[in-house]
Amino acid sequence: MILQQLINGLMLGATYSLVAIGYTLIFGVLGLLHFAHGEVLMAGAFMGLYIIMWSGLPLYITLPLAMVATGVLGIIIDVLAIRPLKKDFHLAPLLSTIGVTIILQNLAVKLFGGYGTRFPEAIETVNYKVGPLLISSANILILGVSLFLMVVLYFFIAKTKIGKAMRTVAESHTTAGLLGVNVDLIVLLTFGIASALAGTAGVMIGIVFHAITPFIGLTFALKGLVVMLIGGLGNVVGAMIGGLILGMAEVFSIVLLPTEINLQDIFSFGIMIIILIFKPTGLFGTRVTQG
Amino acid sequence: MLSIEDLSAGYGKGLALHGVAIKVEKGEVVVLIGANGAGKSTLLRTISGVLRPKKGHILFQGQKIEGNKPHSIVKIGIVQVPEGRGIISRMTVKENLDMGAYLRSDKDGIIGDLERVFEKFPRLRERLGQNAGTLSGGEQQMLAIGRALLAKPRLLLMDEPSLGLSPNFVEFVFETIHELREKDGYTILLVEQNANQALGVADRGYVLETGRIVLEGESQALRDNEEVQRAYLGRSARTVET
Repeated sequence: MILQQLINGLMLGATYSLVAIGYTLIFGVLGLLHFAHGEVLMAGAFMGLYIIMWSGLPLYITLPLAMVATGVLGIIIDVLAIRPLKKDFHLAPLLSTIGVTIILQNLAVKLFGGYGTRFPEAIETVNYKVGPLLISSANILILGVSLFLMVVLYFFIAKTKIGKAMRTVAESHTTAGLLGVNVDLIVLLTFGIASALAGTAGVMIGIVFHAITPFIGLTFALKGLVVMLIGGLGNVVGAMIGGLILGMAEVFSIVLLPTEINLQDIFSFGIMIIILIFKPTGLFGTRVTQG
Repeated sequence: MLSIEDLSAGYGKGLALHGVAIKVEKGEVVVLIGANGAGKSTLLRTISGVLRPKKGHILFQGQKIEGNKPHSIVKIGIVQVPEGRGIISRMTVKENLDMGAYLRSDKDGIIGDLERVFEKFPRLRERLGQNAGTLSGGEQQMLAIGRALLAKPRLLLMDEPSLGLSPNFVEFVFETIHELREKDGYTILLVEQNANQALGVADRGYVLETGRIVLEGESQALRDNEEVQRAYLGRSARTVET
């Protein structure tokens, strides 16, 4: 029973992690809270839905396609809504992303209607019985893909030249430029990667919940935000682990707490508050000296 | 090699530089001296493309480079050791050095240059795996200089390399600059408040006051100049030979 919940928690947490990694990457390189990140996820879910419906191709082709499409959307957002703004007014980009939220959500309502849209059967759901455990193929897919993406991303950031350039930009745009890094290009790439991850999460949510609405962004954006705060701002590993912690905490809260009232969110935000009281920088955050 | 003509630049609406003109020839060490806020750092930031000039031209090897982005200025060989050293504190010493060679792809050349940096600064080799944020100020300055050298600079800009260092390290930094020029043949444009020692290692100098060049000349002539002595060297200053 506990093991079963552990798997459910990991699965939920893995999608949170994907969302939170995007938040934390963008926060890292721009110091910007990307309010429209949840709507990017929603858009990714819808783009995935149509790619799957129209192409009829298997998921291992359609999921990467949806990732690329969502990545491109992220890049467009950077170019149109963030880059043209003067960096001197640090609230301006934040407000601009709120504008993007409104645009994307209303566009989705106009195109797909405000009610839920059925998500196509992207994969055949098979339930495997492993001893007392019931694991669905969807679970395996989500866990597998999320963990794979996280490991790849970790090594990308830690070891590759571009990954190092991203970390340099996160530390200082000026220093990065003086070392020969094309800062604008790295920011663009970061938006692409962050959005592609959110798109992946969107498609996965579609697969698990079987339906998506133009309003799913907010819930996951909030959870992603909580995870980023738990893990420490701008910390990718923190976002990965924070997501898994939150996912498991939520699943166990359903099991352990009375279900007549919805205590799940109280529980997850409560955890965030407790962590921030005792460690204001988040679990893996470090203090940044302003220089 | 570098020729700046009638350059005006500044932050916001104000100007920090008014029609500045300087020249740096190949193989020279040229120093800019001036008080805090005279515009020395602004000039280096404008050359490196961090700041866009409002007026004037910057020519590097006959090519106009004003208004170019910082990364393309590094690409043509102008590399800056920034004020405050610009160490990436959340990276290791090795990763910082790797970032110095960011635009290069000649693996063997990079390895050779890395060895030369370690010869100059053996302490960096000992601290390779350490987080750069944990280095002492002097070690960070070594790292910043070593990192800049890995970018294969044709012109090295140094912004107050002796600032905030202990006297021993200040001495060491000026020795290093001397060596970079004498032994390795680098061309250096140096910004310093430590006018006495800077003039000791430089061929020529410019004195910057509130954004204008007020004086220029050979290092020795500047050191002998009464006004320079009064304003920047202290009245009883003795010339120091390095």
